[in-house]
Amino acid sequence: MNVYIVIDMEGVAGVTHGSMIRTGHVEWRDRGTRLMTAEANAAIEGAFLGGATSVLVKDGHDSGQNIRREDLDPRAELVTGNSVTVGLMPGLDSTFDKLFLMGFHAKMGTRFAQFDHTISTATINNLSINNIVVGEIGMYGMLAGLCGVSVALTTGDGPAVDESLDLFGAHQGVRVKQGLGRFAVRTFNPAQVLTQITEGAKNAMDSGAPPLELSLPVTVSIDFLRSAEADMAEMVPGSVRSSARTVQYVHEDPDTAFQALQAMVALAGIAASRWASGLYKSGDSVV
Amino acid sequence: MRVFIAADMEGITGVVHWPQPTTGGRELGDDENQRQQMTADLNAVIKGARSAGASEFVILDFHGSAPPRPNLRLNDIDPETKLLSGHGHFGLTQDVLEDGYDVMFIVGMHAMDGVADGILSHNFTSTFKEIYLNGLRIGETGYFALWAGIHGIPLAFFSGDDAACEEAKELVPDVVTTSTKKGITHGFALLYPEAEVRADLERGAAEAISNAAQIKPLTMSNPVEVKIIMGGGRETIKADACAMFPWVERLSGTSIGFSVDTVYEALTSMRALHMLAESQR
Repeated sequence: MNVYIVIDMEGVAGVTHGSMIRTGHVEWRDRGTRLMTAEANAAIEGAFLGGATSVLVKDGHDSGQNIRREDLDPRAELVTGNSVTVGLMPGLDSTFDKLFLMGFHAKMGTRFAQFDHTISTATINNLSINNIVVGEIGMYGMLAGLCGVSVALTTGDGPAVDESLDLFGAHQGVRVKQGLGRFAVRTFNPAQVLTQITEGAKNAMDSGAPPLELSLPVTVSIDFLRSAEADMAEMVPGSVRSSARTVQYVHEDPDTAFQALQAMVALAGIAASRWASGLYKSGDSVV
Repeated sequence: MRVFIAADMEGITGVVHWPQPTTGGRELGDDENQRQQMTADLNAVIKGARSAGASEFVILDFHGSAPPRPNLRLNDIDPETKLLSGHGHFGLTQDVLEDGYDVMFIVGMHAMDGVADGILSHNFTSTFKEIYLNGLRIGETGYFALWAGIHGIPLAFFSGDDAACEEAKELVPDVVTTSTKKGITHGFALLYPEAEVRADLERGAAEAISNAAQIKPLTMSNPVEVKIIMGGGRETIKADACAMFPWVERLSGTSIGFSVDTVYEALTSMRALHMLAESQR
């Protein structure tokens, strides 16, 4: 059995402050990356105990440079890189059986959730796919469902695990902490949760939610923070500007719809970075 | 008669090398001079067109090297002229040409990327080395002429260096052109006397208004096959990013292609792809 793990960073036990997930920060280097790698290893151990024959780990946070390669369980392979250029889940296909969603946070707008956001705090207010409001958990799980891959384990902040169970149905869930607010959290001891993650991963090998089937056509609707982001996303041909801040894209082919989602988010991010920096970062350099 | 003027900076009187129309000019203290030259070129064009009967002018000030726009000096530009200004997409996403214009002018333009004697030749930036629409290679001049053509608006007047004027003539044979300089290399030019150029701009613009009815808009049959070859370094990651658009086909390591139903979609997609490619670091 082949296992695909997408691991994010916000929902790792012991990650209590934004500095721990910020690429390059000393807290990220010395603490965040270690905690994240340990959780990945705990799940890989469980997967193999439960009968896995291969494990592919996608480093899903920021630019994907978080897992400490030299410390990762050598039985697993690692895939990393800019998702704008390689897709959300590089290497995933129907030869995989199980998807593990690890280290996750809840979608934007969730109460009592640490670091609640959907893809980008600076860009997206709300994302829906086929009229279901989803966060990153939903996005990854739905994509996996297209390949017939079942969500079998979710780990992270309590509300993130609930979000996954609600959307995909019963499967192994490990709540490693509980958000008290966006920037407040009550966390289990990082070392203590590793046993639970291993146990959950092992049990996940003979359980899991049925792959989510998306009805066609697939409708992606993104509600951005500002109209400037929607101005950019609207440049994707075939998209429809359904309101000042909302852009919609409908397609019979789900892969096309998900690609359009990524393209819209990437374009909107350019507008968002203008707001953040007060200067143009791209797209206007000469003309 | 309503005139839409797309105003760039590289082909303006006196501009020969990159520091002038970019932030470098500001650092050298030369920025103000270029903005004055640009304003003076446009005022000459407007004066000439008005003398031949044009009544209304809207300038799209789209040169974007050194935000914030506008580049034009608002105190000195013709007081009855309106200005379109801001960042983003040349007013194409919300198609500002829908307001209804009789002719398009392009002022201060440069040649397409890769023209040896084209002063500061490029396509938006250096990211798209070659752009083909249904096999026709275009730069920014082709982009604007085709956009106008969608609305049945002819490109009636054009100014820039010799190479840019030649490029405009190849696309629209009857366009009236005024050359501001002769490029010798990418950043070295023979500058024509300023007063003569201004007189030529005025005369040319007047002639363009008089001839407008005889000038055919640049159009293209649908659907439109687009091919783009990346440039400017790191070409493969730029092509990777463009390939994220679901309808984009990867033609090679450094090139992409796509087919769309209309010229308008081709231009909008191209602009979106350009921004996406540029955002990859």
